[in-house]
Amino acid sequence: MKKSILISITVVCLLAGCISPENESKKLERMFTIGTTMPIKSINIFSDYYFGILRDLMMDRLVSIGEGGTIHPELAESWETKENGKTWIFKLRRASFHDGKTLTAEDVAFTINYLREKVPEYRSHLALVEKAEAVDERTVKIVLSKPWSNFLWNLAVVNILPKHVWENVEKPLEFVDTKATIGNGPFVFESFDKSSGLLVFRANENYWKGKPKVDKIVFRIFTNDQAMLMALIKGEVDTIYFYARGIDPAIVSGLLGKENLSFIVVDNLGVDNALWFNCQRYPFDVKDFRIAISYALSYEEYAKYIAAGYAEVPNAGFVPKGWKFYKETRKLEKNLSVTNEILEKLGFRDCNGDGWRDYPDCTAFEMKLAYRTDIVESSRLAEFIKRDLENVGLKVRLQPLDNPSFRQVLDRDKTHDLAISRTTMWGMGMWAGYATGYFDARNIGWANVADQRLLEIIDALLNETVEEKRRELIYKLQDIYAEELYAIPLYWGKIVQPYRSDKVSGLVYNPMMGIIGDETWFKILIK
Amino acid sequence: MVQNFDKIILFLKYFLTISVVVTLNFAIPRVMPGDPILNLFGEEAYLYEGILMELKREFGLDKPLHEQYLLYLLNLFSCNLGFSFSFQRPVSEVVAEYMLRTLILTIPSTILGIILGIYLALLIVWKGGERAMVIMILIYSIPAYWLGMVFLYIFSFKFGLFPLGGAVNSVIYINRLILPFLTIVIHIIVLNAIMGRAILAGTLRDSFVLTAISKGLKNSLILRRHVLKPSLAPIIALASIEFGFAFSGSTLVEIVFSYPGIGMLTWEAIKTRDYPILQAIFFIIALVVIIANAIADLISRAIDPRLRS
Repeated sequence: MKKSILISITVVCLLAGCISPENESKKLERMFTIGTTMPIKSINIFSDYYFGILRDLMMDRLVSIGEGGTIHPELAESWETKENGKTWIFKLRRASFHDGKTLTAEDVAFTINYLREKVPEYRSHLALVEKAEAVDERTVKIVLSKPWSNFLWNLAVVNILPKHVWENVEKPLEFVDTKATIGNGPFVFESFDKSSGLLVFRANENYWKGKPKVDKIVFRIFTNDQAMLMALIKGEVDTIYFYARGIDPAIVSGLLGKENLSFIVVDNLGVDNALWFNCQRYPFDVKDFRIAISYALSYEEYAKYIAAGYAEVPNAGFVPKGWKFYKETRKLEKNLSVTNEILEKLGFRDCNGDGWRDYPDCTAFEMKLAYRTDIVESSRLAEFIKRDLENVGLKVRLQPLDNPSFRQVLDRDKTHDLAISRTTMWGMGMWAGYATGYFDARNIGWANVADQRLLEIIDALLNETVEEKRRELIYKLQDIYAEELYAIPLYWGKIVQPYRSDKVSGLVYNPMMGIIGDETWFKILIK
Repeated sequence: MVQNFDKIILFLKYFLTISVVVTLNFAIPRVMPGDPILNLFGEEAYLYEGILMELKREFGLDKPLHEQYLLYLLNLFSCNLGFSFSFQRPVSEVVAEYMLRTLILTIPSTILGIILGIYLALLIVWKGGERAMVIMILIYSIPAYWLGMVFLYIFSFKFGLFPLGGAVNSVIYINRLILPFLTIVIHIIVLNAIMGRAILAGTLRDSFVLTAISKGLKNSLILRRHVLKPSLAPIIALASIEFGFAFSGSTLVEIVFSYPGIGMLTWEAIKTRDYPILQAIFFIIALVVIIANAIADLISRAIDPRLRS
């Protein structure tokens, strides 16, 4: 009986061909298989956020972001600014779209105008763009309503669309035809099979940088990390990918020593986890109170236990090392006597002997600590922080929120007291750059800062295009972050990217896009 | 006259149930905190207030709740399930696509599970199988997703018989169905065996069964005619509930096996606060459960004269 069951299973499997036919096709072409848990649902780069993450594979941008947040030429081979950063003129390279049509300045101008008119997200990214126009076939002029020094950073997320495809598309978010994937990028979209969880791209033979060193990229979509990691260990996928994230450092130790598994470890230019104060709520609007909290936190433990050692204790200046204009500020440290002394001075003492500090008027004090439940490290950190703050008598109520609730509370309502969240590398560069978007109450503003001192620096930075002066402003910005502690970085982490060294080598980690950045496609070696 | 009155009461009962379900479907997603519009864009997206308001207007979320409710009812009456925020497609298209995948998996597993489960229950009841019952209860106490993870580990990871998630190519799509199918079918078998045993054991104690035995009838005849047949009404009621669940998918099993069915769609819709999708899924599931229940009622009355009286 048992034997016949085994035979039946084997026969079914063989008939179904489930014993890895990918190896067969891999022999014929250089195929790179990536596992991902990004829940891709459609092939529209605007309405499907996660498919949009992959748009650089299909469509180039004028400029891209490289090491230290520096801007690199991409489709634009050069550019100049006039009128103190109000007018930008870009000279384009020769390139053609996947359907063979030449990419011209008309396409670039169309893309900028089209996106700011029709795609909500870009209406914010390109809010200051007055108009874009083609000067000649390879020159495009973009006029802004006022100087905007950080304009190039926003252009780094604008992928050039073919005018001949999109000009008649009234509702870009609903356009799911395969034509919506046409660009000039290194890969051509081939297929998306949601049922099988497969997304396939093929190398663009006519790419202006040359044909990529991989013929085909296959994304295999998983919905649980454990299955994806098993697939990696087993060699069903060559590596794994999720935007702005490596694997959870806590599971790295379990993977070390696995046969043929190697790791790329790089500094994260985003802040893995930070503690954000709502700086327009008492007592978080009091600088000394924020400083008191900063001395109550166990940074070394966070780096050791939450980031499994793939992190270091951060500086008060928030911006991680590795950024072009990074400035050394004081290292954060734990010192409970400083915390207690400041809290006593501010009048936060235990009035009724229940073990918890109260407001200076002796009413009960409790802080809500919001955190994102979709980021596993944040959930763990919340427990650590609660413990640390309760150690100094500050009562904390945890407020676990899924992503939509978190955004509602922090982005819109601003009803939080404290919150734990990460910043991405691209997010760090938003607004005036160097995390200003996350601090400034006029933007995303998780720290909800309306402090004129900070806002003046941000405004100056937005207007300043001279590099020397910008550097001075960015140094000042980090000084004020360190002094005011509107948010406390909890650790500066590293990104750990695992891959199968028996199947692939030459992966390069782009600080913004990770291993699917352009650098990988010309260095990768499929074995 | 009395019969007509009964029918009216029955109709009102179902109408009331559907009305409550429809209202709850509308209300529950909106009670959840979180803005569906903010969630349409990435975590780094900053949308100016004006843009947000425009989008809310486009999706009809700027209207007062009672107007949204009326619009929802009107759409429902014209069989329009709405437009998905996150898919940017008509809800009916999206739900049909995901529902089909779920039904491919759950309908065969439910049918097979019920048949085998009841057969097993009969065997246990007739031949005595306390040890078998202990095993059944043990298996049933294992959550389906955990059983799925164990299967995934053994058959996919250790023996490499099936893909760990996502078919390697779409031709062999069937092989990714096998493990989730097994996981679901085992749970349904065990559930039906446990419940079926309780129902059948009750019948077995009835005096007409003792009479049949003492008449020296064949075991198969006693089981079929005197044990199974009188027990069919509660078994059918149980089956109708299971068919309702078949339409709702098995969210955690689908997540374990990376299978994009209706359970996963529900999960995604909750995460993105896609109200139209959630409303449609809950409405369809409730409708299926109510219809299945009504059919079960009719069948039970047809086969069991005791219910007709």
